[in-house]
Amino acid sequence: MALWRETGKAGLALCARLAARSGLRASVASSQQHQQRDFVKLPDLSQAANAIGTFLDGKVMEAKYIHPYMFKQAEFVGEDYNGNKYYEIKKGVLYGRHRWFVPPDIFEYSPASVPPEWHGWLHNINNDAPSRVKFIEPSYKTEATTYKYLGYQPKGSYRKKLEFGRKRNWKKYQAWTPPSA
Amino acid sequence: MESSRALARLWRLTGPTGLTQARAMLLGRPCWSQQQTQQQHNSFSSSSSSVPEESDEEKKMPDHMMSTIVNGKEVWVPKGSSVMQACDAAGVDIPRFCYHPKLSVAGNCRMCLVDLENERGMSPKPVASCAMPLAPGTTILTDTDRVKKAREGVMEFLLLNHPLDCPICDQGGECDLQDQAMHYGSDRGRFVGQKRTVVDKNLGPLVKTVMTRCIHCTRCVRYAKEVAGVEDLGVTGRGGASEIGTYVNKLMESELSGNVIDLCPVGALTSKPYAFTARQWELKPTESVDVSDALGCNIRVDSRGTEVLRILPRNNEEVNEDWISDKARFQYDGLQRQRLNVPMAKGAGSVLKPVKWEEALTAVAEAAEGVSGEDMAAYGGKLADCESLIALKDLANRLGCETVQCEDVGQGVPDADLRSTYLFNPTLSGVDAADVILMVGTNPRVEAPVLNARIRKAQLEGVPIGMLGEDVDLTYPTTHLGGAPPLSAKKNADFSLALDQARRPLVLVGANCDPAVMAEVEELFEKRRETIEDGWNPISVLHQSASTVGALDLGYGAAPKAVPEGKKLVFLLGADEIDVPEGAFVVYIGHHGDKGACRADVVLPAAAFTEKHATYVNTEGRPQHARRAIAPPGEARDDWKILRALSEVMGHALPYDDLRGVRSRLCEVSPTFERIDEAPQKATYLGPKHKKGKVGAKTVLRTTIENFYQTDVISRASLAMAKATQARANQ
Repeated sequence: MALWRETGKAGLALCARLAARSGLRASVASSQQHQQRDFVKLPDLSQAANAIGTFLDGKVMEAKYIHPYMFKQAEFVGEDYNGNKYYEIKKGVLYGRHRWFVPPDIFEYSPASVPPEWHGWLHNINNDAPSRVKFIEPSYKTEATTYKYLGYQPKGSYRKKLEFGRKRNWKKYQAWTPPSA
Repeated sequence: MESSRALARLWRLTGPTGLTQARAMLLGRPCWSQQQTQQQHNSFSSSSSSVPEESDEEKKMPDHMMSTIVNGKEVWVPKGSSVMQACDAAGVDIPRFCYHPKLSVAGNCRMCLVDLENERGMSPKPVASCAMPLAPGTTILTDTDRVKKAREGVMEFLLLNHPLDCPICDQGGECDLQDQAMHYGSDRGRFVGQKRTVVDKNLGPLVKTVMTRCIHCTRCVRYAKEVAGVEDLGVTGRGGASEIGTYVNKLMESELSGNVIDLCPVGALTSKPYAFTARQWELKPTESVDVSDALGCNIRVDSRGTEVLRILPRNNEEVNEDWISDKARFQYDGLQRQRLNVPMAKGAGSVLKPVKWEEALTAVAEAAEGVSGEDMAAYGGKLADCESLIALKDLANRLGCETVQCEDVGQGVPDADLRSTYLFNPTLSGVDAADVILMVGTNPRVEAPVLNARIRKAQLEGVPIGMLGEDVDLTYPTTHLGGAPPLSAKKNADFSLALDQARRPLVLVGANCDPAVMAEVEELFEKRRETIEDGWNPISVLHQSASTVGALDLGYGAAPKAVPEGKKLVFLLGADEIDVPEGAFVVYIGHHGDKGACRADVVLPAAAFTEKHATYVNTEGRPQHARRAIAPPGEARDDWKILRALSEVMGHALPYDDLRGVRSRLCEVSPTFERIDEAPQKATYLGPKHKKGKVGAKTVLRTTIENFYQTDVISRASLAMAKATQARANQ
């Protein structure tokens, strides 16, 4: 985001081109190495591409550097059971950008990982962060199932495949099995 | 006419592309084509009304017709027509919900309002056209502002209490209310109250109800009362509190209950097995023929990808009118269960193991080596199509085998030399013309529910119906004449008087009747031959399965209950109800794993009726084509192709290798197959054909069908049919 603000669109495009070229070079070099020496572990290119994508997206910059360090006055408010860290700035930023959280893994995170008690504080519904004020669970509370993909997933969903490690069964009929003698 | 027949033949030979090409060629010749298309158009419009041609002033109006003017256009309609029928004849669209041509007129939806005008002026208010008889000198106006406003008002009232749940409604996309709201509905509602809600009714495992959506057209009520003949549905309450439902909590006990789904103009009655499965625009319709009974009801198979998702009736006035039975409609889920998808052969330990096609075919060829033709037998099954039956017969005959029989043929037809001895001679639409109906050893309610509805229609018109055999409830009153022949006139004087005076009597004989019973029946009409109209043959045999008449036409005989001892090689073409003794090598060609596949030594997977281009002949001798809607599962192939391949491996190659070849072979064997979709000409009654015998005095003639819902491999594999059976048993 900072890059965007400073250099504009052209800068971002240039950066993307550079990143793509370096990625390409790296892949060529690694394949040559692979032919010569088998014991060298191949870097996971998809992960690298992901990282570049995330970098360009501004998520890393924002989450890792801008929020915690650029604003020195940011206050660490607390951490939830999913490992999300919550920060707040009282003055000097636009209202609505003054509370945020940093997930433990910035490559694989979900907004659904924010528990209900933190949700109210994060979205300015209330000012009671559960680390400061004791959160009283409502009587109708049920186990949160959305995060970790435990909730309902439609038939053929990619998430379902991830969770249970099997693909959707595309066979539309049930075959007859002969009786064993 | 001659050219349209030629076109039909071209269609049969070359398929749609050939026909399109031919049509393009025709249109390329303007001097001839205009006349041609005119002729075609006339031959296609089957309604009795017609639009007079302006140029032809000399044409005189027949006495039974009257003329009227619809929106400034003159039409001729039969006298006694309603205003709506005149509008239909003029090609003017009238919106409607409660009117249905097959049901009585209720006139309670008020959607079909039109303006009438005569010499005294405009009608004081718009008139419901469905219930208004057309008077002479009346002009019909359907496009006035008043009519439009009135229909919009009616639509607004209908939508007051109708829920806005189209996105989750199964009728969405094929809903009359949805469509007509596009024309007459407002873009906003003025209703601010609370919408009416109605408790859903349980009509059993086949019909789903969401009664809040009901607009009280009462089509289902009239259908149940008039066609299905069950007084289960009705309206309770008055005004805003009126509800459609069963009076007490019970199922709709009818074999034709599924038709209310088609009749319902909104989503109040929908199909339970099809619920939330697909939208109508996702489906591929295929025109086909039903095989669940011997009527050959015309159906539309709706499929998506490799699944058949639903089956709907297709209108054919000569066969099934607008209806199909519940078995025909709901058994399709059986097509996805218990399927044979790979060839199997018995390996070590005499257990069936999946093998390759070559191995399976070679195994059969090896088993046939050294077996003489007399030790072989070939049996056709209940669902076998004519193409595979002829391929099996040709193969068997080439191997020297003459035991070629079909199961479920019935003992009533011991020899098939004369076609009129085993057909439904008066034709199904001939039931409407009959003046007395006598049933012998049959229960059309379970053997052919759609025919039963037609007989019921005749009964409502006052045709006396006698029944010889088990006294069953056929949904209409019958005169019971005893459990078995002889038919004594003393038992019911009224009925025998009607029989004596009948000009067009119809005797419905169950296919499983004894030849002696058939002889008795024939003798009955031998005495009354003078009174019977010329060209009318009263003998109408009601068969039970789709393959029977086709098999008889192709020279199959009646199969025994068990294969005789000493047969070494037995071919079962989907025949599951024949016991095979130990020691015989059984080759099963079929699509479902049932009794036959369990007994088999080699299983060759074949296609079900939705998966192949096939010909079926119905009980009146009308050959019809079933068309391929989806591909057969796995490695399954068309039955006749399997037999063709097998003949090659066995060294007796059959002389055809494409569908056209098989069909021309069919025409060679029986000229019936030249005239697809046509019932045979009515055969004059030629006198008794069966040998007289003794009929056991204590036997009660009855149908062999125990359970209507489960009669063949498909319906036995179907979950919906199992649920229906259970629900009926628990009732």
